[in-house]
Amino acid sequence: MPNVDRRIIYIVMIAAVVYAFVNPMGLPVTISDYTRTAHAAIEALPAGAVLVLGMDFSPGGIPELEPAAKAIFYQCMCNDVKVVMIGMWVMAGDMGERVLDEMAPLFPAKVYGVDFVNIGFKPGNGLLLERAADNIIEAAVDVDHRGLALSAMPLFEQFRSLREAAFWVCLSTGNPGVSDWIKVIGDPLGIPGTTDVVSVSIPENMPFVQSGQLTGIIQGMRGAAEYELLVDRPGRATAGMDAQSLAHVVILVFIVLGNVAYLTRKTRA
Amino acid sequence: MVTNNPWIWLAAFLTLACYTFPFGDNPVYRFVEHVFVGTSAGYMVTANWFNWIKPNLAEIGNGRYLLIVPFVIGILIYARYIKPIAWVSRIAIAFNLGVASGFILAKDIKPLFITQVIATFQPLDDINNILLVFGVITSLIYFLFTVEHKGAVGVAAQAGRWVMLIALGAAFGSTVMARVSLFLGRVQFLLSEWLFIVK
Amino acid sequence: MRKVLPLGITFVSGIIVVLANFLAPAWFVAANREISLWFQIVAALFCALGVANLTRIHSKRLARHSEGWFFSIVLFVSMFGFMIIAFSVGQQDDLYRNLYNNTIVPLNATMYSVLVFYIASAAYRAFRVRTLEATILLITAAIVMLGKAPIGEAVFGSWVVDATNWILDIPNVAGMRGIQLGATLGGLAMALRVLVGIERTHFGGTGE
Repeated sequence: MPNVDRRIIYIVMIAAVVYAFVNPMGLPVTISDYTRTAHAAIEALPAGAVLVLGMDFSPGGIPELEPAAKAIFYQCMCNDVKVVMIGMWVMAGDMGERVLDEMAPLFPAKVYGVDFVNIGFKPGNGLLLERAADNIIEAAVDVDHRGLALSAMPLFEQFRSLREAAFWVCLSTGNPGVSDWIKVIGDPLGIPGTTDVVSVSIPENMPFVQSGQLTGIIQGMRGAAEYELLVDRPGRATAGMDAQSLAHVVILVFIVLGNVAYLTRKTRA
Repeated sequence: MVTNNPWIWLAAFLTLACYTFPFGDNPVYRFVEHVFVGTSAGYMVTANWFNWIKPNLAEIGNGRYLLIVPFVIGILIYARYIKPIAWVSRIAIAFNLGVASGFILAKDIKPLFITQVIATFQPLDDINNILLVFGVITSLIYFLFTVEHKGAVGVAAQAGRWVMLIALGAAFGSTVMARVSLFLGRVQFLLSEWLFIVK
Repeated sequence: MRKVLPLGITFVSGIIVVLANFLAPAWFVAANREISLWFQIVAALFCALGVANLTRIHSKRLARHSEGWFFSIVLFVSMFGFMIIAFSVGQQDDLYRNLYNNTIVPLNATMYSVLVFYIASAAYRAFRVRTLEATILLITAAIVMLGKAPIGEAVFGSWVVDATNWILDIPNVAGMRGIQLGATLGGLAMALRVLVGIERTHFGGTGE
């Protein structure tokens, strides 16, 4: 088997993915227990409770995390759970606005500052969370991502600190991320939470699931697709599952072909 | 049929220009590479200004004069560009590193160590629990370099190596998944928002 | 002075944070609260280091007409152009949002996604089952990749999903926990070294 030009490999990869998008196979997506657990915990939140959404990601995490953020926001608005978005990553505010741009218009009765708010990015990593656990308005310097005063918002008349959150969800592409939420909010304050992490971070966060420090876990794009199906709103993540399947098959075929070529050369030698 | 939104055309151009790199370094890629670096650096400044620096300067204006101190400390970092007083920039680094180190010492021990150790203590009545406990112990033994890996320790370290290999195999599979997902996101954008081929 | 002052600042600022988490006097907790705010302000002010360094490096490149100087102009236009627009119109303006969503987002996302091509290429050219260890690693990776994509279950049945979940739940947790326990201890040791001044590499070597 000849040494294939790498550009041919790239073109095969592109062709497979484009084909899968243009001609979807409709492969069924079964829902894992991890995602069900996370979904059930959020579903059980009473009306009026506050869920804190940690938008700790950059555009590199959009395909895997943004669909889950939208699905969770949708679920919360349907159940009259209030959503506070905050982030340790510098693009947190703009990531939050992207979610609100698409999802807020679906709920015209929900009001910014009453039912949801995007505090956005504030520096300090875990120290931001610690200060927000004390007094969220002071931690945010009384200003959200849109430049509006938090102290003037009805949502913050009752919700004064992260201690009063009923649940937290950290959407994370790395560090700072899940471990900061666990060590500042989850573990010391006993507030349950979960995470949607990019696939590369799934293995390192599984110990937190096993120890109970995370209530389930939404695993990358597959987990986001499962969550979309659980809230009955299949979106970008679900649409990408066929393409993901074909891409994985292409890579595995390349591995097999490469090893067949290697073993054949080795036997001949 | 394609979009007539010039912004989407810009995004599509930038996306496709990045994808020229695997096929060979070229001026188009270098152009977008420099745009990427420039806009990212500029974004860092504007995001910090609007979300944090400007509101805190307003706080100083409202009478919290003590906040002048961290502003001075923070600005000292830029002394590194002035050779005679470059050492002054260490003050800013020293302050932040001290606080960060103190935070690690205060916060990490229980959730990241003690709770994790406790979670390893599982009843040994289930094969999975036995494998979990055995796996954690042998993985830790593998990293014990102050004891020679011979005899029983050697066997345990070898077992830990196998456990780590499976964990790293899972990590490798997850890494492939992550990169594929990123690529799918861009292809979805091109096919749905630029070319209108898929919904 | 050049050594002692920074080391002293590191120790004092760090020890306040540590003790405030274990002692309860109100003034200590208040000091910690203030120190945390100062940390955030100082961290935010570091944001322009990137701009400063890039300006310094690319100015030299432009002045000397070094190779690629044209792209330095591109960088300056992008960097200062974005900042001027953002400072002029604010974060909520349509121009800013369009610029962000159609330059920074696609560039950021695409740059990381280019790696998929190298993974595909490496899959054919480099991933060899030369040893038993490599075989186990690849088989595990293959099971995880098939288990996490719907095609695995569709073709091979639910066992591949069960196998993936078992791999992630048991050997992966065991191995990762071993790594994380070691990393946590290492992090604590490093934090203690920085606090008491044994570790000085962050000052540029010997702290001189």
